[in-house]
Amino acid sequence: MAHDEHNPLTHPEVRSASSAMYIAAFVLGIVAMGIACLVTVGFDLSQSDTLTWITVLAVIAGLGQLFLLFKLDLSKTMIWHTVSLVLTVPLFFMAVGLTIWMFHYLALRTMVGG
Amino acid sequence: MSRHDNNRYRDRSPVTLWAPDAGHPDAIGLRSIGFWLYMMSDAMIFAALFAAHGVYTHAYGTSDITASQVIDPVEGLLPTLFLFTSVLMYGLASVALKNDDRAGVVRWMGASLGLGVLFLLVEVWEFAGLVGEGAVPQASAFLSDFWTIVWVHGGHVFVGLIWMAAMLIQISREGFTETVVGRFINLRIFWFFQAVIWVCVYTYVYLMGAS
Amino acid sequence: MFVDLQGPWNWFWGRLPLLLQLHYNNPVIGFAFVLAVGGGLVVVAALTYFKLWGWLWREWLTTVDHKKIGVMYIIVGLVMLFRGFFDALMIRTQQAAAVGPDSPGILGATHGYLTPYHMDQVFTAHGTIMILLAVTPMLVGFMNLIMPIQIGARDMAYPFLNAVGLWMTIVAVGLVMASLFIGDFSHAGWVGLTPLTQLAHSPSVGVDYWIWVIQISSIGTTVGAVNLIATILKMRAPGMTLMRMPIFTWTTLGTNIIGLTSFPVLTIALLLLTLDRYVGTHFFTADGGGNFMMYTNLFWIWGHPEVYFVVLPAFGFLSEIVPTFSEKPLFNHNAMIVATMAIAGVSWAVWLHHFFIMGQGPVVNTFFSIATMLVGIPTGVKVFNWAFTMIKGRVRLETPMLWALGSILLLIGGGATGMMLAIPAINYVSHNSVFVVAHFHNMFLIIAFALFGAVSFWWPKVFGFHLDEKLGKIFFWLFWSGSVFVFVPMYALGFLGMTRRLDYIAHPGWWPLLLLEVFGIGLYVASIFAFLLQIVVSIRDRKKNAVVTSDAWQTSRNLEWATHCPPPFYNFAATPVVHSIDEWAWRREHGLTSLKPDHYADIHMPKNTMVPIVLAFFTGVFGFAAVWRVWWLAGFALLGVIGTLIFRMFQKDIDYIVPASEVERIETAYLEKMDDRAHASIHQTGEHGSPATQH
Repeated sequence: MAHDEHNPLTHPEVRSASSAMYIAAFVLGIVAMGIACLVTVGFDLSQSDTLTWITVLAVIAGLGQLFLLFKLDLSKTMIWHTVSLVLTVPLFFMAVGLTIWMFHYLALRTMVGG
Repeated sequence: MSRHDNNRYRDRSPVTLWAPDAGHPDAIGLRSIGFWLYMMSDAMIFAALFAAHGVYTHAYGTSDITASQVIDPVEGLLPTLFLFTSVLMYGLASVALKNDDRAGVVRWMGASLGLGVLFLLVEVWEFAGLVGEGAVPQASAFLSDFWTIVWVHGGHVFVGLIWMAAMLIQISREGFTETVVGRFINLRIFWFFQAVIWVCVYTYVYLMGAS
Repeated sequence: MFVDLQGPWNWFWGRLPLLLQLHYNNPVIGFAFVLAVGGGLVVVAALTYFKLWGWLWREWLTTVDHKKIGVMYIIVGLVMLFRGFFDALMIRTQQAAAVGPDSPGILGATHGYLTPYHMDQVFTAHGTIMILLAVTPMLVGFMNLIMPIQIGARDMAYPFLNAVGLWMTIVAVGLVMASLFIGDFSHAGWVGLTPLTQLAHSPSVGVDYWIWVIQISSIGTTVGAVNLIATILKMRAPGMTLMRMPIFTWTTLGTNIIGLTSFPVLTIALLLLTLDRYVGTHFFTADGGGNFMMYTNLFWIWGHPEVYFVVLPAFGFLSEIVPTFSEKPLFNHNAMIVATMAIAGVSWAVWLHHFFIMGQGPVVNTFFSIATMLVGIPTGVKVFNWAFTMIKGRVRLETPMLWALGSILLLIGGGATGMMLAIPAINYVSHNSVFVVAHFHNMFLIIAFALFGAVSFWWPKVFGFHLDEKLGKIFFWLFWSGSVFVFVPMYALGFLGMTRRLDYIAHPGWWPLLLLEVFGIGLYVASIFAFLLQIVVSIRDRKKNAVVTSDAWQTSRNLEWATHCPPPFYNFAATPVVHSIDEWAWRREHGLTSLKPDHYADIHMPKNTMVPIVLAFFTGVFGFAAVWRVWWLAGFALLGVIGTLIFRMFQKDIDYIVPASEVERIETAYLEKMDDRAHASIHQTGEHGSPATQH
């Protein structure tokens, strides 16, 4: 376990750090959020159009960050990180999506809530 | 198993039943997968909050304060910038770690910490303004939800900052032992994750609320 | 910032002055108090008399050994099972005593002996305790105890975190016991229906106790889930590929994936409720735009996966017990794995069936109805696999197998009624009836049966001697008959239209069935005595019933039987190399059962630590202070938690090396002891031979 006989700095998760990738993630995040802000404030789009645009931009920024910052891939070091993320993401969207879906119908039929 | 199989194993050189050496478990990788699993759990915290948010977006009750009155997406770009820059600084700190540059790690991590503090200060300022306008969490379900989402994220950032401060002390005192490096990588996961979550918060709370 | 409270509050004592207004003249609570405090005093006195405090502290309280942590989890679970059973006893007797307008009332109750408010607390405590503090700790205990040995690991991935998880559970248990005597407990059902749980409708501290008990025990579960998943992913012995993993390990994985991802949703549901109660937000209120169905939704997003969280490990137990006592490999190992993971996956898309009647209409209901029925397919696969395992096997009806068979039979009944309830049209009429109550108790009994099966199955592994067979069978039959007599009438009452959570039954025609249920609960009481007697007798006869080889049942199949009974603290002297599914069975069939490795090597072990107890102390203080709204104390406790964590971060001396010579000494002593026992059992007359030949 905590033996220091080999150098911890040779660990692949230390070696994977890269200035270029981090800067790319930063730029991607800022630009995507900036454009999303501009789309929302600067253009007079319908609400569903705005929603589509900002969702696409959020997906780009989020995925970009996931891959550029965390270096998720199928290598031996990172495989279980990737697998657990891939298994969690559907649950995330199911929890949010199904909730909104059922409350949408509830509101239509009962006028409860918003 | 048939007798034939049995003989096959007897005739060969004896099978290895016990590993002579258990090998050296990868302590850093072991800690990092555990923390990553915890972050998956943490992500579900935000899933629940976003599920609620999807229903409370326009739940104003009798209050006449609407989302577009309290949310200014352009103003929201400022904390976004601070948080993303802080994440970038932590990234540079981990590049310095790769190069075994202790001073560099401390410097970049200090910058990351400072920017994190700025992020929180900007948010405190923003929400203090809301209190002035009467947009307190008790005013309507929408405001309850808005405050809670932003501050659950803010709470995460706060915890990260405490951790980062302790980490700074530990790195300057102990250098890069296996334990310290493992912890540094876990904090990196935690800190980077706050940026990913912020993308969702900014998009679905700030931008969607204002549109 | 905080809400205005009804009743007293001051900054120093918080809401504690409320206690002065309570009347402690209820003999029911008095009896519980005497029982709990008396029991506690007996334990304390015994520990002092036998001078065991040091031993307790060194060997158990500060341990990070996964086996001891597992045993402690199971003991905590059993104690709480007893407490929850007491609540059940009260519910059953109250309902039988309060039938019809002429039924008499005592102790201030109009009918029966429990006032409605008291009765409401009793069934709330029953549900909360049984699910979160009895069954869950017992299951987590077995996962802790067995799973790392099954995959050939030295220990869990994070032994320290493991102890933290245990101690968080113990804090939750402490808080729930405190609520019995200091204040009151929630009266809003274990699901905590809003807006009933809002401050306006539940002004006392009961709901707050309920909230913090669940929040703190969830921390324990989440931490445990991280640990168990990481252990399975990273700590497997060489050769233990994923598809070779025993089914119990697979179900542990599935269950903890569910736990890891669903418990945060509960945390948020309760956090939002806490904000409503403490700060005055409008999440689940009827006014201010709040939506109280949102609470129900969030609760069941967790709540339904939670059902599979508790049932999957039970399926794991069955998958270990059935092959061992059928003397045959499990039928279709791979299908079992796929079924386990399929149940875990589908469990996430069914939660709405707990509130089909919310009013969301047929489109949404159809989706969730079909998803719910889909769960039946993998579950059916499992039942058939167990049945096919038994076909043409040499089935031995020893106690663990009896429990397993009982469990499978219950699964068929519970599964069939589950399919009925999955149909929205049926659900519209049966919602909130005791039919539903009977159904989910039926499902939980599967788990209880599998758990008692697991207790008798792994007892010889953990303690080195068998449980008494005869008393075990008496225990089983009493428990089985109790289940039949309580829950078959309950199904019938449900069909007759009896709703759940009644403190008074207006329909005298239901009385005979309710009396039948009381008879059933009497059988349960008898079964508890049989269980206690079984343990006492087995400990008395431990020499006679000692196990002579590592393989206590002679036909067991997985790696936990490839080490001594009880296993040494390092589990295996040398890490086993895995060659097959059912590695131990493979070794036995090839005559490779020697436990002696070629040579011994140093073993690296984590040191005991008291940090988890300190963390638990501060967490407990925080929980108590938060319940009573003593904010300064809560603040200090929180600082204590943070400070302790930072202290741990800087702790260095956390592990040690067991030298190879010491390992060799321990191993040799074990092997000699086993040889002596084997000789002794051969020289005695046949009756104490291996259990396989006992009958």
